Amino acid sequence: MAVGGLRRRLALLFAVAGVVAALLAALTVGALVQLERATTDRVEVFGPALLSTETLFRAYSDQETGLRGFLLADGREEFLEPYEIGRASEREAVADTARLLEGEPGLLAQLAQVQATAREWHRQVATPAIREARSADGVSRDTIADVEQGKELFDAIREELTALQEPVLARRDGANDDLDDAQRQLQVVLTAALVGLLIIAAGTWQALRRWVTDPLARLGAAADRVEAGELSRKIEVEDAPAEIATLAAQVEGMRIRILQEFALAEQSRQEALRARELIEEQAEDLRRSNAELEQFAYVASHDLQEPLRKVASFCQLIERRYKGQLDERGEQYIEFAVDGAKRMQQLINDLLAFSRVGRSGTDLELVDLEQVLAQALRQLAARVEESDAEVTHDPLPTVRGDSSLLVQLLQNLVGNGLKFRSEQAPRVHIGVRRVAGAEGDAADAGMWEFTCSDNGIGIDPQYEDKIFVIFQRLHGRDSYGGTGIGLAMCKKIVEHHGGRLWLDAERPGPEATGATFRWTLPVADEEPAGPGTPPTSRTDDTTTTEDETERTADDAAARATG
Amino acid sequence: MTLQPERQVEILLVEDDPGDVLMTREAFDDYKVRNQLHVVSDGADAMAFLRQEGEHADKPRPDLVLLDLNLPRMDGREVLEAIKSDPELSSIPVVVLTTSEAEDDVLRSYSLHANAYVTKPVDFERFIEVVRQIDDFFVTVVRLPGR
Repeated sequence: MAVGGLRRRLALLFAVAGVVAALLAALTVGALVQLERATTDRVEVFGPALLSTETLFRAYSDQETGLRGFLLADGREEFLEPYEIGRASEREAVADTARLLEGEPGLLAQLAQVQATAREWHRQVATPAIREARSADGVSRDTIADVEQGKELFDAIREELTALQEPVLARRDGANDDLDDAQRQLQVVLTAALVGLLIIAAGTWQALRRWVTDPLARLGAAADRVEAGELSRKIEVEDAPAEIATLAAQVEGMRIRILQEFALAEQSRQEALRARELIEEQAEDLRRSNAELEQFAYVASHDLQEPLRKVASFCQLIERRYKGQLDERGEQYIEFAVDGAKRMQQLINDLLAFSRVGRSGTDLELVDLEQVLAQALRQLAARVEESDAEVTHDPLPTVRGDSSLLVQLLQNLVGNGLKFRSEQAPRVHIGVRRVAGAEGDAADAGMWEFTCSDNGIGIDPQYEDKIFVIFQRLHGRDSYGGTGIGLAMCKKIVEHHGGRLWLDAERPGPEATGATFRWTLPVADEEPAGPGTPPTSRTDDTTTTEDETERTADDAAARATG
Repeated sequence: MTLQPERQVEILLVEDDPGDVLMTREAFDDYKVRNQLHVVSDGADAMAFLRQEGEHADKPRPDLVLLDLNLPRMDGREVLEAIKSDPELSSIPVVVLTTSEAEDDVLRSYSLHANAYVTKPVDFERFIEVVRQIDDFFVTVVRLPGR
């Protein structure tokens, strides 16, 4: 089948069906007309015409019989009545026959012949006999003889009438046959029409199935297969009208598009997988390098300190055993050697402490920063007293953390405030507030933000990056001591707790001095999320007791464990 | 704090570093403790000494063991474990000498049941102080078991 548009095919189909139906209707109408005509001929023309010729025949017979009776009764008028009735009947029958056979000129001519012969009979036989019988002479033998002679004429009437009846009868029988024919024809036509309609219906159904439902079903099945996961299966509908082929092509386009999207998604999934693998590899590298670092820290703490201890101890032994035998210069050399070794050990211990932040394996627990600060200040008590410092703070919250690390954090920060002092007596303030959600760095939202401000020499913002680097120092050892680990340690401690630490570069005013460090810590889960602690300050009790001494890193003591 | 003049304290130092041995001797000399310092340089030798085996058959039972952890052949942890699991020896106090505080922490997590951990200090003066503390605590104040 040539592939064409569904619209054109359906138009063609319905045109053909229409023509066939019209043809069948015309045939049916023709058959009906024929039937009607045959019926008319049979029922309204030749049948009645035959009857009326019979009536006419009886009318002529009645006249002759009546005339004979009248004559036999000697002209008594009452015996003429059958004759008169026959005459009337004759007129009526002639009129009927003439009316029925109208349009049949041959038959009408025959009827006219019958009438002419009848008129002749009346003129020659009936009328003279009746006149004679009514006359005074009465009915004579002659009169009856005349009537007897007139019988020939009457037989002529009868023959002519019979001659008329024969074709009428034939025509009536013909009409009967016609009627039968028409009926049969009608039956055939109607049967043909029924069959034709059935064929049209079947053809239409077949065509619709073949052109519409089957291709749609095939398309649906193809779409189902794709839906079921056979994405690579091409969607096509063979032998389909243009509209459905177009629809199939559109669905196929959709499938190809989906396949492309799938390929893209798969590609990005693969990329994500690769990226994750890369990250995992890097994480593995990091773990390895951390483990190596830990190993290094152990090596540094143990193996590097051994020779160092030797150098320092034996230098001291020399000093002890040979005091007085060395000159002043020699003793100074020894002093420098011992000092160097001690500083080296301090550096190693600091490095070790730095590398161990967050690796001691202790869990974070709820820690009251008030107590933490108190403990840090106890450690700093000697230096606070010695520098006549004043340390103040806001009411501090409870956070989740490692208390010894937090003590170290506050100790380092406050200690820096005391250490890098100006000419004035050091003043250090620890502040705290809750960061609102709408503020700058979204990561800080909802966290505690602490400040440690002092009135010391301050820090040039250009060194902001340097101060947090381990062992990075901004001042010579002569002016300020220390290994330079403090702030790096602080940063690491804060980051271990999930916060961040930074130098506040903005000075409150042009004449303001000192440094302000800010750091954040997460709010502990158990704590009700209040709007923040009221910023009331209070002065901490900075008096110290004698047994509180500053702890030094190389402080060693025998610790009994029982 | 009185010393017992009638007998000297027997101390076993398990240490493989001659420098540390010398320094310990010097410290004990300086503190003038009446003691007899026996020195072995590895863990296996230490166990032989404690069990008075082989060449150590005539050696006295020590009143105190100073144990370095990093030893050849049998390291300090194994020695400590052997001492503490031997009913004959478990009553002898053992002081473990370590190099750093960090190492202390690591060792404590092993639960080695040492009687004390001592960090070897850089400063000789402090070392003498440590020796004094050890002596006070284990030799004088605590009456040693078995005598």
